[in-house]
Parts: sequence; C-alpha cells; structure tokens
Amino acid sequence: MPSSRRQDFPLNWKLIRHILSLYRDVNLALQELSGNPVKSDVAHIFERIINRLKAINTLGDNVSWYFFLYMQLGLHFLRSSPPKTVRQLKRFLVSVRNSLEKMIVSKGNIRLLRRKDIFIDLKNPTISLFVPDGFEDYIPGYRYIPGTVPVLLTAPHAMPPMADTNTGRIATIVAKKTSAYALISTIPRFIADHNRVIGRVWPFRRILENLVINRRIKLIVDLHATSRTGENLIEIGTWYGFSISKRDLTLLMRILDSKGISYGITSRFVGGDIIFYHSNIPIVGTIQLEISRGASKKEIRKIIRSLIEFINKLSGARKRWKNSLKT
Amino acid sequence: MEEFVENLKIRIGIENELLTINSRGFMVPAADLIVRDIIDDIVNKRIDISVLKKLIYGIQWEPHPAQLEVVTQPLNYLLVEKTMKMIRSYLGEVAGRKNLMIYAGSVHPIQSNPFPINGTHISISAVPKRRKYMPRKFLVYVHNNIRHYLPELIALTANSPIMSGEYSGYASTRLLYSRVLRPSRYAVIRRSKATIIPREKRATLKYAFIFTRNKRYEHKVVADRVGIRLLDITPRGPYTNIIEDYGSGPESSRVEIRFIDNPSTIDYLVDITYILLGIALEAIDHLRRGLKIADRKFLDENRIRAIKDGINASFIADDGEEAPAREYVIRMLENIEPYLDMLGVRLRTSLRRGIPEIEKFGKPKIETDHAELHRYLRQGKIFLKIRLSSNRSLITFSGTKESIKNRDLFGLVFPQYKLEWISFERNVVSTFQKIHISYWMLTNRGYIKIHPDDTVVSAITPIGVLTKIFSDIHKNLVG
Repeated sequence: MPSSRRQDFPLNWKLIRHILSLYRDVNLALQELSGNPVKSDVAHIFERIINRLKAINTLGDNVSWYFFLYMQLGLHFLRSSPPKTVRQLKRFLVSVRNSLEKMIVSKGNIRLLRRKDIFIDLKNPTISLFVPDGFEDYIPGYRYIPGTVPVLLTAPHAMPPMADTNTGRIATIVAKKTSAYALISTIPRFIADHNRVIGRVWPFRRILENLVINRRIKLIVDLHATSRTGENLIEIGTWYGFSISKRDLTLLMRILDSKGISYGITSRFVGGDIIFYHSNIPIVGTIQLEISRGASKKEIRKIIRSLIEFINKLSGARKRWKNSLKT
Repeated sequence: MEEFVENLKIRIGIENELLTINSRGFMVPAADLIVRDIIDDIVNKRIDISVLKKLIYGIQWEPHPAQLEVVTQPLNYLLVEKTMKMIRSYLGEVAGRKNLMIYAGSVHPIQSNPFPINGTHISISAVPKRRKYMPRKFLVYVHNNIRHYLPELIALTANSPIMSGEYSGYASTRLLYSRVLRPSRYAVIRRSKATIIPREKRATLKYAFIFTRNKRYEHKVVADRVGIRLLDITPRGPYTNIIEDYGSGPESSRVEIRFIDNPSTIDYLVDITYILLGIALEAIDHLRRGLKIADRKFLDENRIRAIKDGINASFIADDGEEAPAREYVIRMLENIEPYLDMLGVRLRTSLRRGIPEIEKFGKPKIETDHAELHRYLRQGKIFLKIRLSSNRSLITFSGTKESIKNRDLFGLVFPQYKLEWISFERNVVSTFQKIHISYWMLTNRGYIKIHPDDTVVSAITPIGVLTKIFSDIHKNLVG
C-alpha cells in the first residue's frame, strides 16, 4: 500500500537533520583545507562525516536512493581513485556540498525533482533509471562540436518529433562563432529524454559530465523551445536561482536588454534535470533558455547575436581575470 | 415481460482513458501532441466531423501528459461497438503518424507506480417512454443492483496484475491504488435540505450553502453521505446529493460505473457494457415487480477479495459459507441472460463463460536475466562489482568498442526492458504479454552488457560508495 505523508514526515525531518549536520561538517573540512590544514583536525572532521553517512545509510533503502538522485554520478566513480591532492579533495568536497545544498532546498523530499518527472516514480531504482531494448543501437545519440572556450551549449530536444525548434541550429551557429563546445541530441525525446532523471545514464549526459570535468567547463547553456512563453521571447531557468552566479546572469540580462529581447524568469520554467544536476557553483554554472516557438527569423538572429556576445564577454572576462591573477 | 424493455429508452456513455506510448511500448508525454494533430485534422477538414460529433463528445488530454480520454455521446447500446472502433482506429492512425502508439490497458507494466492509471467509466441511463428523464427510483435500483454484483464484476474485469515491472500480488492493481474509487454505499432516496449541503473537500467535511433554491427540502438519491462524486458506482444528475451535479439538467440523470479496469479489446468492452446493461434491466424489472434489492452482508470483504485474487477469489455468502468467485459470476450471467435476450444481444467473448480476459490472454510474463541483480537493485544497491564470465567489449560514450582486460568491474547497474504485446487494431496495444529484463553496467568509460552467468562480487548503495570514498581519504590523512 502507498505510504501516507504522515509516515514519511518523521523520516524527512530526521534526514534533514543529518543533511544539515553533514553540510556543516563538509564546510568545516573545506575551511580547514583552505588555510594551513592540520591533518589531525581534518581527519577528525572526516571521521564525523563517515559516521554520519553510516547513520544515514541505516534510515532505509529509499534514503540512499534519494542521495543518489542529488549527487553527481561521477563522484561515485571516484571510489576506484579517491582524491589525493588538496586541490582534488577541495573539488570533491565542493561537489558534495552542492548536492547537500540541493537536498536542503528540496527539504528532504523529491517533490522538486518529481515536478519534471511526473511520468516515472523516482522512489524505485529499477524504474527510475532504465533503458528500452535496442539501447545499443542508440549509442552515441548526440552530435558533438568541440571548442576551446569553457562554455557548453546543449540542445537535448533537437530531434523531431516534438523537437524544440531552432535549438540545434542555434547551438551549432553559436558554438562555431564563439569556439564554445556544443552537444546536440540526435535521439527523439520519445525514446530518451536527456533532460530528465531517466536520461542520466544515456551517453549524452555522460559525455556532458565528462566534458565538464575534463574540459573545465564553467557554464552550460541549455537550449529549449516552448510555445508557452507568453509575451516573452525567452524564459530563463536558474533552478530557483542557485544554478548560476549572479554576475553571469546579470551579464546575460544586460545583453538581452541591449538587443531588445524580452525575457522573464518565472517559477514555471525553473529548468530541467540538466540544469539541476550539472550545476556546481562556483565551479560550474548552468542556465536554461526557453525560446519562444513563435520567434521570427529576425528574432532568432537577435538571440544568436546575444548569445555570441554573452559567451565572448564571459570568456573575455575570465581571460582578463586569469591574466590579472598571473600579473 | 419484454414489453417493459420496449418502453425504455436506454442510453450508454463511455469514457475511456488511454496512454500514449512510443514504438518500444514505453509511456511518452505525447497526449498534447495527439490532440493538436486532431485539431489540425478538424481545421483542415481531413476528417468528417459531422459523423463523429453524433457519436463522440470529445477527445481530451488529462492532467498526466501521457494520458488521453475519449468520451462518447449518450449512445444507443448497439452503437457502442461502432463508435469505439471508429475512435480507436482514428487515434491509432494519428499516433502512427508520429511513430507512436496508443495503450488501451489500465496500468503501464513498467512506468505506472501506481500512477498514471487508466479506467473505463460506463454511464447507463434508462428512461421510461412517458418520462423525459431517468427517475429517482430507477437511479436507486440500478445503482444498488450493480453494487450488489460488484465483487463478481470486479472478478470478471480485473486485469492489472503488474506494476513497476513486478507482480503487485493483486488482480486489479488499479483498484487497489486508485484514489478516486471509494466504495459507494447502498443508495436510498432521502428527504434532505436543499439549501445546506454537506461537502467533503480534501478529506475535510464542510457545508455549502445555496441561496437560490425555492424549495427548502428535496428528495435526493444518496449513495454517499456527503455526496462524493468519485465513487466506484455513482448515481449522477440533479436528483442526487452530488454538489457538482446541482446545476446539471435532469437529462444527465444516469448511473456511472467507474470500477472497470480498461478492457484490452473493444469486444470485451462491448460485452462488459452489455453485462452492465443486463444488470440495470434486472434492477428495473425488480422495481416493476415490487422486489427489493438486498444489501449483501459481506459485500466489502468480497470486493477486497475480488481486487486481490480476481476470478480465483472465494466469496462469502450471507450465511457465512464460502464459494469460488467463478460460481458467483456464472450465476450472475445466468440471471442477466433473459434481459440480454430481450435486448437482442449476445456476449461474444470469453466473458459469457465466466472467463476474464486476463485468463484468456494470460498474465504477462516477467523474465529477468539475473534475478540476484534485480534483487540488489530493488534494495537500492545499484553500484556493483561484477566478475565477467566471458570476454566482453565496452561500448564507449562515443559508440566505439574497446576490449576489456579486467574481469572484475565496478559500476552502476541499470535494467533494460523489452516489452512484448498483442495488438488487435493498428497502432493500439491491447495488452502486454512479456517483460524481459536484462542489465547494463555503466562505468566511467562506457557501457558493458551483463550476461546471466556473470557473478556479483559485491553490491553497495550510493551512500555506501560515498562512505568508502571518505574512508579512503581518511586513511590517507591518518596514514
């Protein structure tokens, strides 16, 4: 029988308490590592984290699965080569901290994730992550445009039927003009929706995660199209504001304003799983752009120009910042 | 006796929920797309709407993005088959244009957990010739007689034994989990206040006040104390205490039956409609002859047993004796046979012999390549170390193949489902027959197919993996 909410509640509160304590300990470990770390102090904090994780693991099968939904898959593969240098360790801890932040924002349940994944039940691993028969035939299922600038454009719904019109074209043009990376799906969303939890095991998402780690991607621009944007030409999704830094978002908004492109940031288009899963502030920022299906050719050209300017300014600013650090 | 049937105007309305699925049988949120295509057909005059509108009230998408609902007009019972065939073949054609299909069953065997669930709602209206609308007494008798046979009807129609890729242990998983199919009570006509109406909203009992009624009291058909609409059988229309029906016209007086699991084929749907019609006529005949319809003592218990075991259940009689559900079902079919003869219809499917469609087509089979793996996945131990039994190649994320040197591999294991189904209409899946589960392992370099003879070395939960990583770091720090 389905468990009632009343039964879930104490578990959620217990879980939230553990998550908050973990968050505190991970932050303490990061603080210790930032100064002149004393090995015994850091080891003591790690001991606390290990004990806390062991306690969480006793809360039930669902809790472990819940953690998995919020953690980056790549973190689990670190089991075979755990972080050794302080830099690697800090990067690992920041990723764990970000996942914990997402859990805290979600208040210990999966309602926010379910919002987008209403046609699968996220409580059951055997039906949350699965592939249809013929999976092998769909690999790789994406088109990759290599680049040099640490910005990645994604178009997960570029393939018809029910394609997000223009997204594949925009990603290609902008990537070529700015030397940014681009990933464009070649599988229809009816076979695999890369912007959902279920899509995390597909090559599109795996290569996305590998690019973020290996090519040091700083920003993912996830392109979509919708017929429900209302008056705006673009709806910006930032997963309730924590997927992108304020500086990058302000820069984009300033450029859109200067080009006369109407945009909005509403709770309706908060972003899908790509935005949610890959955001890892301050290392990686993510932003979703829902472009109106009713946009004219002229407006699409304007959007392309805005994105080119945004990526150029962003990479220029980063270069300047890096140079200033060197000097 | 046949005269009384001739003096009745009988109308049947059907609401049939369906799911949109892809070419591999998996649910996809395409209801909106199908509806848009239908609108496109109407606007561009690719379909003759003048014929359709006489038979079909509408096709709409439901709140779930993969769910569609077909609603017929109040039909002559002889037109049910033609109408449903017409609409299903049209929907199949529209879905086929997008390389999609329509699933006619109640529960998707993999992706429903337990929602979304589909149901078929059948509305019956029987109006005496000298009257314009179905009278209150008819509503009460028809409702009570269908309710009388509720366990038998559930046993005969239950066909949703699988959910989330596993047997749920129930013949009708849909009825077990449905939030909108509460059991109705024995219906009565009650003199009740016209201006103050009890109303249950979000499990809280409240009262609604209506100021525009001339009468202080009205005679209402009451099947639920607080007038809940979403029951397994509901008398509908303005003569009832259902608040949503207060503004409706008396022509909407009918009995709505919601407990039916979606029949896989139109033949079964038509037969179930005829069975319900036979029960309705039996009720009206009882009323005509001054007979009462008894409230069964163990109705609720038998209902639960029917949901659990379907036709293989054993029902309890009023005297406490137990007998197989099949015997009860056959007795019910014998009782309604004379009424079906009066209507000039015959049951054409296995239902006439008391054999439900799930028995005729067989329960869907679940085959897994590796039972041990499946058990670990169900426990949330999705990271496994596996020893390969033979040489295998790894498929990288870019699609190239690499040979693997190491026999022991660690990674995330996930299932691959292959669905097999039977179909009686083009692009319409009637029922799933087989679910085959095989497994893939995701490593940080690519995918490896797991074979049945590969052995599991260890299995660990995601938190277990994190604990291991932190422990290794801790060891390095201490060491």
